[in-house]
Amino acid sequence: MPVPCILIPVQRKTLVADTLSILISLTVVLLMVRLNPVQGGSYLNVQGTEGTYRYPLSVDRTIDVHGPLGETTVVIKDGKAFITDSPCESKACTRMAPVTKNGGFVACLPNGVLLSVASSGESEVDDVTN
Amino acid sequence: MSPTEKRTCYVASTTLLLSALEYLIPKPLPFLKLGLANLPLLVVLESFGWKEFLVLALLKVCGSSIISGTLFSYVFLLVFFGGMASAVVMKGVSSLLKGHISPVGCSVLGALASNLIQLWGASMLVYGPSIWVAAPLLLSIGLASSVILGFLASSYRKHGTMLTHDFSQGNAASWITYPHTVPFTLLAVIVVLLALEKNPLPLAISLVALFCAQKASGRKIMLVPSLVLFLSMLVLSLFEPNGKVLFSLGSLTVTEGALKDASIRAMRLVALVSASQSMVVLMPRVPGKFFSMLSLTLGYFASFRIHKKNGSFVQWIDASLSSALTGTPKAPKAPRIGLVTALCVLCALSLIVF
Repeated sequence: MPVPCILIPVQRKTLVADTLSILISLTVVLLMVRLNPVQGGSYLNVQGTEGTYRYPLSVDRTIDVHGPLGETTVVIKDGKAFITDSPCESKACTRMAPVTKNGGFVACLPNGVLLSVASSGESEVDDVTN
Repeated sequence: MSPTEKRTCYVASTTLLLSALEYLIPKPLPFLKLGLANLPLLVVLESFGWKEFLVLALLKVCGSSIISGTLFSYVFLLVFFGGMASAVVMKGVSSLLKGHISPVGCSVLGALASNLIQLWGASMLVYGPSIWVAAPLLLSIGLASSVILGFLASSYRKHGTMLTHDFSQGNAASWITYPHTVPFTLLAVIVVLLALEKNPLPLAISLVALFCAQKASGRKIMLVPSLVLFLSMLVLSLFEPNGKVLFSLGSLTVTEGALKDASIRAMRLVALVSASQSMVVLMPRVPGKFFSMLSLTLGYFASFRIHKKNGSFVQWIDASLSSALTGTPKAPKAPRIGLVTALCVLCALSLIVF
């Protein structure tokens, strides 16, 4: 009985190239799953007295966080986050080791600002404020 | 116009028929495509030469953007580069491996090229890097649908008669437009202003004005695609937290900045597409061979009528397809120029004043 050609249009001559094309396509799909640029990104969590803020560590920016004493200036640069200025007396927070994607934290307790890292997929950072 | 050119236009018009069909299928992401419109390209892959094939691809890209109304928005850039990349890849592998690759292989590689280019373009122009979250899904769907399309194309090649028509005679039905320079130029200015606008209020005002202008120029307003676009942008914004945390859902955080960014980007794109919709109706005629071929392609497209099913599936498709060669094109609704112009002025003013 003749088989309708729509069921087996595959010919031996083209089998190699066709299979190869499908394999290339599958490889790219798998690569995309593994190398997803967004998954596994790290974020900076900024806890202030007025709420929590979250920013990607990969984008450079300057953020002003409002606290009881005034504005604390937070800078994200080259994947590192630190405080450059704060209205506290000691300015100890400006000398602390920066927050990177590996962890660490920077705090200006007088102005109620806490920087910590949050990775996507991980649970929330514990509450330290107040 | 030579019979070969008419044949190219005719095949191009069948791609438009399929992209119109594709447009009716609801999708979770606006540019998640099955690529139905590539079917005719796969069918003629070997019988068309390089030049004819690329002109066909160009007609497909421009024609479908006119029908969907996105020609004058940056959606067109995505469609253009994706469509041309896939055409070059398909024709390239088919002429390189002459006879050693079937439409299935060509289709799979063409879809891959088009999807990668479109993802890259969308990440640059529309969504930002978060679109790559959807990459595995888009590419897998592209792979599956391109395999099926490849099989369909090789089946049609054996039984179809699309290319055997006599293209030397018959009066070519041209496409009907309503060229009006003033509102068209106004809309072109609005498109530039929209691309630069960063505040939500003027964007919202122009969006409403442009929707009204679109209606007045005789084009249907499709709310579902706009809503899909809006929602997809909001969902993808979850992967790019930015600013004050509003609330968290498991590991995903909804932030004020990301939400605002996504709404602005979505409003801008919906407004741009709406402006483009009116521009397509009002666009002036351009002299030159390509435009007259495009006009004939759209003329054929507007002349298709579905025939009663008679005989096999392929015969029925062929009978319906050949109707374009003898029919007269349906005229689109005439635009209300005064109203369109007034709405454009209103929109431009709101963009300049705020």
